[in-house]
Amino acid sequence: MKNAILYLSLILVFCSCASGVNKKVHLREYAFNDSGLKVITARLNDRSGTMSTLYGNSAAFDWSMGKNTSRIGGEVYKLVTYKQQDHAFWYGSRINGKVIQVETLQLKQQAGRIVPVYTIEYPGPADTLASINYMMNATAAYFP
Amino acid sequence: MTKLFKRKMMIVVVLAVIAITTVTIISINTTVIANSPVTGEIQLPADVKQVLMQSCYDCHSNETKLHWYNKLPIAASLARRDITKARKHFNFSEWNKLSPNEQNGLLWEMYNMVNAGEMPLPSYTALHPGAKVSPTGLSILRNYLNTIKVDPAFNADKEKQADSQYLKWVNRYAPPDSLPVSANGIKHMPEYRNWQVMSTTSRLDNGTMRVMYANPVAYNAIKTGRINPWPNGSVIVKLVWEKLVTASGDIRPGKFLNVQYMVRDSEKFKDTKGWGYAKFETPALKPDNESPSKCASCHQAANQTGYVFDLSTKD
Ligand code: HEC
Ligand code: HEC
Repeated sequence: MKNAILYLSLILVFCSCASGVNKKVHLREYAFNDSGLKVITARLNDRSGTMSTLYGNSAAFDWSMGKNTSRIGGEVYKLVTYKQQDHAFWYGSRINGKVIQVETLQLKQQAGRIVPVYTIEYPGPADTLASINYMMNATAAYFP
Repeated sequence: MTKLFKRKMMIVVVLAVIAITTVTIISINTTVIANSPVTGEIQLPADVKQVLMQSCYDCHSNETKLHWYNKLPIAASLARRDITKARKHFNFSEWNKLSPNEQNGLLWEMYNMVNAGEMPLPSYTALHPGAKVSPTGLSILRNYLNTIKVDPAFNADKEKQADSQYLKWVNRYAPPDSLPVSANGIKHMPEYRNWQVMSTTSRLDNGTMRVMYANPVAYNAIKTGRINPWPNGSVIVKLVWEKLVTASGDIRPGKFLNVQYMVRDSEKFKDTKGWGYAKFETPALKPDNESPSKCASCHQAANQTGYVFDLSTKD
């Protein structure tokens, strides 16, 4: 019985000080607020180690879901690109890290023509033409 | 020494002898747990196997080796409980009973449970310090995982499936008449699309990509750092797609697989550490019947952030 009591108290002592090997993490602040835009789709680029999320307003949405046959002024797209980083708690997952650029594309109706207006925040190594092309032609990801 | 004292001593000694004998007899006759035959042993490179045998086999296999103290009363029932539970979760000796998908998922989970300090059980390593996985052991496991990563490659079939799903969706889009509800009472919440994105992830272990949303309560909790515990009313949604490699080599969401929920209610869901778990499969949003306690036991690896994994951290 003494043994058992000793054993039990040992268990109690060890259980109470058991701790993980994970080091303490610090959460990253959010650098981007969607300001009411919705996610159209997402993209991974493993060569450059980045991942991005494409947002749009409702006109952009309609286009990305094939509802409009021609472009209309007023479509707004925002492409937020993050660095990929290893997930702190799950080996095998890569999560979005630091924001490296936020690109905005607005399609404006000017004198009967649709004019794309492109702006960029956090100027990163953006390939402007490729980004515009991507934003104008992305199809929506399936969202239930 | 008085006679009285001697007599008292005698009684104490006799009682002690009786007690020890009883415990010994009980212990010798205690079958803590039976070892069933090994029917489908896991196949792994020798160094990887060695790490697992040394640290996990006492509980997760049919080759349990017990020590004398495992046979003591109480200790025996604790060991029995742990081993029974552990074998039920997975059993290296009956590994072939699992599907290739389950096997793959478990291997990554094992590493992550060890890395989080959840496995082997701390109560066990306290008495078997040699069973702790060393940093070398961890890197052996990690190197092995690197060889079984799922590398997405362009796949015409997958593209076709994704395209047909998309076309059905955009051509017949209508809000569902009634929202699906899980067995534990969690209803699909289409309004998640108006919530802030919490994070996005790319999985190397199973070829999927995900977008996570946080409702206003959860988002505010993250921003103010109040996530231990998360406030009641927090909801986190996760959407899971197959990865699809495009002509340019970029990867985009392919076939939609499922949507998963974590809903905070510390009373209602106290059996799963205050989080209600639910999963709805395919565009039909069929409630998944997997037990929420399974979800919760894996989410244990994120105990540092209130059981939520997908929060971006600073290096
Ligand atoms: C002392 C017994 C014991 C040892 C040793 C042990 N485990 Fe476990 N393991 C358990 C128990 C008990 C559970 C179930 C926990 C629960 O249900 O809360 C479990 C659950 C797990 C799970 C969760 C499985 C699932 O289906 O979600 C994983 C993964 C795991 N163990 C991995 C390991 C690995 C890897 C090792 C060795 C490095 C190990 N365990 C060693 C007792 C043990
Ligand atoms: C094998 C381990 C495992 C199991 C089992 C599991 N999850 Fe997770 N879950 C994870 C990991 C790892 C992540 C984060 C990584 C990612 O999503 O890429 C995650 C993320 C989530 C998220 C996003 C919030 C967060 O914690 O990051 C939700 C919601 C979620 N899981 C729900 C569920 C539900 C519902 C179930 C059960 C049907 C379940 N999970 C079962 C490992 C697991």
